[in-house]
Amino acid sequence: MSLKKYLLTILAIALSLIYLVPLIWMALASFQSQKDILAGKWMPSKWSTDNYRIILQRAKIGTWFVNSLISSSVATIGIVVICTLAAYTVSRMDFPGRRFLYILSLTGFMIPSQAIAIPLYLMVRRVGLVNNLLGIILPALPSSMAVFILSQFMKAIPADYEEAARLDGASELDIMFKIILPMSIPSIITVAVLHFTWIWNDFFWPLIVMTNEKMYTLPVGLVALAGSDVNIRYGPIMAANVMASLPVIVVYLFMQRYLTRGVVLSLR
Amino acid sequence: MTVYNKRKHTLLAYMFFLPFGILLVVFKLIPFVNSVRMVFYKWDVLGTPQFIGLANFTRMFSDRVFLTSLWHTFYFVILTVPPILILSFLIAVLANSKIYGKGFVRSAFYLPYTLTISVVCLTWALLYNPYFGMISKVTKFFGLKTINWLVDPLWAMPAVSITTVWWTMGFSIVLYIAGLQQIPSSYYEAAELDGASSFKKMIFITIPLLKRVHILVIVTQIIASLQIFGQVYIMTAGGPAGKTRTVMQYIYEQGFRYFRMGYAQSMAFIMFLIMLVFAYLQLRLMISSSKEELI
Repeated sequence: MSLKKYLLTILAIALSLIYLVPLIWMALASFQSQKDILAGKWMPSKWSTDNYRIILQRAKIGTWFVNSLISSSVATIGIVVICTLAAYTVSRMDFPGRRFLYILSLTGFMIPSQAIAIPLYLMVRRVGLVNNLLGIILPALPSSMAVFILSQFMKAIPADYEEAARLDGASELDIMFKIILPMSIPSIITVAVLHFTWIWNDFFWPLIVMTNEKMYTLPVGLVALAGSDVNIRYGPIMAANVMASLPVIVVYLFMQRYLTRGVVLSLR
Repeated sequence: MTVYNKRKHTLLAYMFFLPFGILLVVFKLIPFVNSVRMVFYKWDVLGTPQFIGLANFTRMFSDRVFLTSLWHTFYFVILTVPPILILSFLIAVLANSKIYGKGFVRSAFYLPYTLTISVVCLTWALLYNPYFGMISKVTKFFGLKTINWLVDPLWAMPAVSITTVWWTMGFSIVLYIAGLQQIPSSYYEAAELDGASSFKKMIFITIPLLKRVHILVIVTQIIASLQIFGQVYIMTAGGPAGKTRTVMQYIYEQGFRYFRMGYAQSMAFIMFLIMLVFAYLQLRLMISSSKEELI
């Protein structure tokens, strides 16, 4: 029995490491000279940070990073505030039209973002939000997924707490801010982490809305950069990839629990 | 509650919902209505849109490039969904079995999913390089012929699919692990008493009990694969000779390179109709699976 456990462990760890080979290679290549890469080497013959220096000098990677960071975090905060309010209404309040609003809030699921990308682009362009971070932030705010996850979670909180508070004369706002919201914090973090990574990693929409190099997000900038110059494609781009991935990997390692639960809850 | 309080409560509810509601209408519903309207117009980015009835659709179905890109999209779905279903199930079973370092194994397989598409595709583009890429090293080691993956018309789409499977499989693995953890161990214990082998336990307990997860993985993966754009845009730009041009890639080219917005939107509308079925199934599954348990 124990032998079986060891063998399975070895198998699982070996497969995991093989699975990570592309990432390991990316990290190693970022320290290699062009010559090493073209020779198909694994280890750099001389560890060098030249690629990082080249990419930081040549590209607006700092600007792209800031653009990604601002759009992802502002949108995430907005989503949390707006969608928490909406989720609270449809899951914890009792009023005429509640069911209608709940179904309305889920209509976003039936409309994939790519199906409305063109009319949305025309609208965003008309109001002058092309090459403006608001062009990324505002359309991201009404997230059906966020309302769905939050309302499912809030629905599961027993009504007893609320009734007891009401008997003590608590107002609706008291109940919301002092009882339901504090109890919903795990689901709020889940929603925040999920949406942050989605917006950070989004490619199609920022590619359309950001046409000025200064306004690119990191994913769009990286691709434009790789396409702009053949010589930069190897080491320097791998260095850029490492820099672009580190924040997400760090967020992931700290928030793993919430993220994987989010996947299960959201089912994408 | 008194009548006054009830009214106040209702008013408060609508006020809470209002910001989300307005944004939903402005950024989802109005664009959706416009998206349906646009399909009846010749809508170039400059000049006034011209009503042309169903001409966009008649043009579309005689447009060979559209029809092949539709086929390429389905081909990509066929190349990605079954491998993701089978591999993520097997890996989840392994990661959920009695082993040391479960956390590491799970993180390793989920990590690629957290990366942005650009990082994934730019790295894989180099791995696929026939001259110095690691994959050609491996094929050479096994004595196989070197393939110029992203340039070979036969292999470009499989290459894009392999990258996609690697990138997104972690998501399905997490779903499967969640499902596996909900299977009561008493089922397996009972089977062991009857002397069932591991293989038999898998066939008669694990696979059937995870039916809901299988369906969920299939449906969400079909939706994701139908929308494929970035991988193709970054790794092959639709080439070689249009062999990896998918519908989204063609929509992008028509809409944002040639600014034929009406025509591009008509194709997006067809994709919307195809995806509607799966999106509806997904929503139904999500609502029921959060009410009950996953399995």
